[in-house]
Amino acid sequence: MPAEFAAGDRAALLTLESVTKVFRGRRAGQSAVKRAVDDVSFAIQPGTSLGLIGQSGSGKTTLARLITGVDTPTSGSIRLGDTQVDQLHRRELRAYRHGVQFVFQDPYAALNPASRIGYVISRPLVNYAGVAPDQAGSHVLELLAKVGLTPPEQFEPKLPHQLSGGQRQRVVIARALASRPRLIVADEPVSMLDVSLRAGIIGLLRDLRESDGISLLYITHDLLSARAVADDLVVLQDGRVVEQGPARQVVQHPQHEYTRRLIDALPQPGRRPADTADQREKTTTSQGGRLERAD
Amino acid sequence: MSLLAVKDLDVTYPGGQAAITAVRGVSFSLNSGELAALVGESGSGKSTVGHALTGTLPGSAIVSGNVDFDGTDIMSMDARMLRKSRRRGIALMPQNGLNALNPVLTVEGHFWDVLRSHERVRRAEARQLSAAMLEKVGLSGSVLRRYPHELSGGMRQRVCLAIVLSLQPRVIVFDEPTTALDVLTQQQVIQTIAELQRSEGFAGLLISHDLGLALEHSSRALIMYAGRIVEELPSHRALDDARHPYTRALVDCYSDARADEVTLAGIPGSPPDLSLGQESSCLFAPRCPHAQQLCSTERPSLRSVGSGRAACFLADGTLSEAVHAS
Amino acid sequence: MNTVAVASSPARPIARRRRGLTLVVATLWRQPKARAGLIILLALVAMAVLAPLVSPYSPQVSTFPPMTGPSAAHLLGTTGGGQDVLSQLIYGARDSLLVAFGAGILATLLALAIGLLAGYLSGPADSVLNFLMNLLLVIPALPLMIIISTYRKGGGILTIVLVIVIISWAFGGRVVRSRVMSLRSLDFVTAAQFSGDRTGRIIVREILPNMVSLVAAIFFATATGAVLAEAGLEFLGLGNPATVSWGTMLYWAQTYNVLAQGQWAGIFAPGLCIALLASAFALLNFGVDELSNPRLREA
Repeated sequence: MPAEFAAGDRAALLTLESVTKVFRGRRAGQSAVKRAVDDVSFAIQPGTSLGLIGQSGSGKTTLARLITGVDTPTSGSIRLGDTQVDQLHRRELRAYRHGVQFVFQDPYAALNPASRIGYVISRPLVNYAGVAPDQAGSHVLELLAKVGLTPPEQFEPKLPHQLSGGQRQRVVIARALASRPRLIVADEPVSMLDVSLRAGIIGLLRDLRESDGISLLYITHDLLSARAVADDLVVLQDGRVVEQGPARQVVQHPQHEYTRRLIDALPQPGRRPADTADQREKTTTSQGGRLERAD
Repeated sequence: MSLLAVKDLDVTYPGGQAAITAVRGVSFSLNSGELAALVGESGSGKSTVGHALTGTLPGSAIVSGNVDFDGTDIMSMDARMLRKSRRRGIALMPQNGLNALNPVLTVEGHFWDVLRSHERVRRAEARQLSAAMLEKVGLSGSVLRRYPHELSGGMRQRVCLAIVLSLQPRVIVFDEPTTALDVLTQQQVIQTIAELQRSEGFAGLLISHDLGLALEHSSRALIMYAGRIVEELPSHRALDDARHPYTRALVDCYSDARADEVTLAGIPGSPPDLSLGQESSCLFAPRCPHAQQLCSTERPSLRSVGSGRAACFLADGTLSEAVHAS
Repeated sequence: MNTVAVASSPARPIARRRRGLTLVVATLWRQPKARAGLIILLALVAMAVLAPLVSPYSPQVSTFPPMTGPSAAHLLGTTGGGQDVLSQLIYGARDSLLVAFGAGILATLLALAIGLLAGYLSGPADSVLNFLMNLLLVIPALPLMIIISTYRKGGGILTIVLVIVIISWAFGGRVVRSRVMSLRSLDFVTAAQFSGDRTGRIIVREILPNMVSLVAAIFFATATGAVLAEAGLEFLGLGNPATVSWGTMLYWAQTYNVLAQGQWAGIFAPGLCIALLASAFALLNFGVDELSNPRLREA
């Protein structure tokens, strides 16, 4: 493991050490054990962003839940600054969320269809920043402008269904910013948006890092957008870290077979199937001719 | 003689507040044995085109135009005739496997449902046929006993594909077959589609918002914007030869992740409001970096350009690139 | 600076934002079936409220010649006990409306309270409440109503309302519970937790507003059932036969065997009114979906 990710690094903002999460369930009468997250360790330095790359079933969503306190790990340690996240009680969670905010994948589910935008953004201001509800107005407008929704006065009274997907996602980011967090965890924030709209959101996340020094944990299966926003990458497969390092290095010189496959799978307009026929072969045969989901 | 010829297709949804014309004047043809891609973002009308071709539009939709399938105008057929025509006709592979499959039926149950509503088969025969279809898409026969929720996203899409294939269609419309799938699974599903298309010989229309993916596996690409086709060109020429600024901008959205510095490009602004019936301007002009005066006063029509067609005054030579918009 | 274009809105005058009851009534009015229901209901309410003005006689007066058919003096004839049918009909509306709204509102509130608690809190609280609701659903309603009513025989309207509430809240409660459980797992509820909102506020501001149509539907369904249940109980003689209501009118009509005597209005009139009131609530239920859809509410 590269030296900068060594556990116990006091300068890091978020540190995960040997985090494991095991789910016990019953399937057809037999108890089944699933290691959703298996001995994962990495760290995020203050003011940097980390891309967590994984397909579905890789454990990335479980990790997001562990880091934001929604779930607790079976073993291992998660530390944000001075807070031992894995040992928080329910009551302490509320205070913890002041410092860690979440950006959701689905802009259509992340906003209450019955709530106005202004209300939605005001809640963290009222709860965490101690702003009185009737004073929140100017702060809300500031935040809306910050995420590029101008003129903010026009957006503040709207209901979610009056906004496009890209605009909604900006509202979700504005809400996440309201409590002035130290870390934003974004779970596939652009995968449900049109390709032409992604650059805007990714650019926004990048700018916020530079202007406000907020660290970002960017969770995705898309290496391209991760490369555009992340300083470092951690690649996850079946709950385990298979590769990590500076983003450029990981993509230009992948060490692990799985990383290479992810890179080759990226769509490129100029490429033709014949050009990469060999890689294709590997993709199908390495998983077997019959693709069945392992129980 | 093309297998499927679409001419001046118009689809309007009568909304509560205002009618939305989702598809305007769409014309194209599909030949036997080819896989063409229909690419556009949300609201471009591409899904509506797919549904119009397969007769799966909601009842309130107003459709006009011609869709000629192997000599017969299917727009003039009623529901019963349409259903008959789905066998060895045009089939639709729906977008989301989870939504399209009945959660209380096994995979075998799905096949049985579909097969017996289109021809007379016995249960055992149907089972054999189903297993054969599953094999074609790379799944083992044991999947027959599974329920949709027990399968992964990629497997569900393959099951949908197998069910569609069992009708032996001559044209398959794939409605966003890779949305909500991971990058690796997307490639597997698309590859399966391309391989099957070569081996089974059906004509395919691949509807997708992912230009990169669509271009990689299709022979021809049709780009849609705000209900119209704005460009048509051979897929492998898209990178070099795209003439319409929208197509160019879409291509530019895909950068090489392996480069030293990676920045994503986007298209500023948002697609137009289709409920305002605008006929007298180029609908992309507000977002176009090359827009000029003419673009807001007249609508460009599809003209032959380079290796395909494009609807743009700049592309067809009416305007030159002398003046750049600020 | 990373900016996007302003949200495009169609070129229409911005509608006045209506609030509260005006909004509800206007939304319901737009749906044809709901409109019909609203008209019928308002007509019956008007009849009940204006009873002293509209009714030709007092409903208690029993000195008229009994069992006569429709005539100029008695438009719907008289009952076996010598009372004017029309007057009884008009005053009877009060009783039925009271029970319908009373039982409807109480049962809905109870269903909402229990369903919210069970659905949001889950765990042991949910297990207990869920069991209670299932228990009430399994017990056959009619025998239970009869037993309770017999026990409190002659208790009048309050007893009837009570009985109906006990029988009918559990159905709505189960529905509320499952809706709350599915709402609770939605992203925007998690987002509210991340925003620091406490449980109470989340229930009121995030969950409840997305249940408006459900609550309205439960109310209308319960009210419909209440009208019929009251009529049924009184017809069986389990209410207070001395009160004036459509159900007791049926009871007395049956006792006096009016059909055999040719005084069909004595049964037909109250029966029709009961059916009208129940139908009004059922029709209103059709407009309920529109109430909850923000898209339709705005314009």
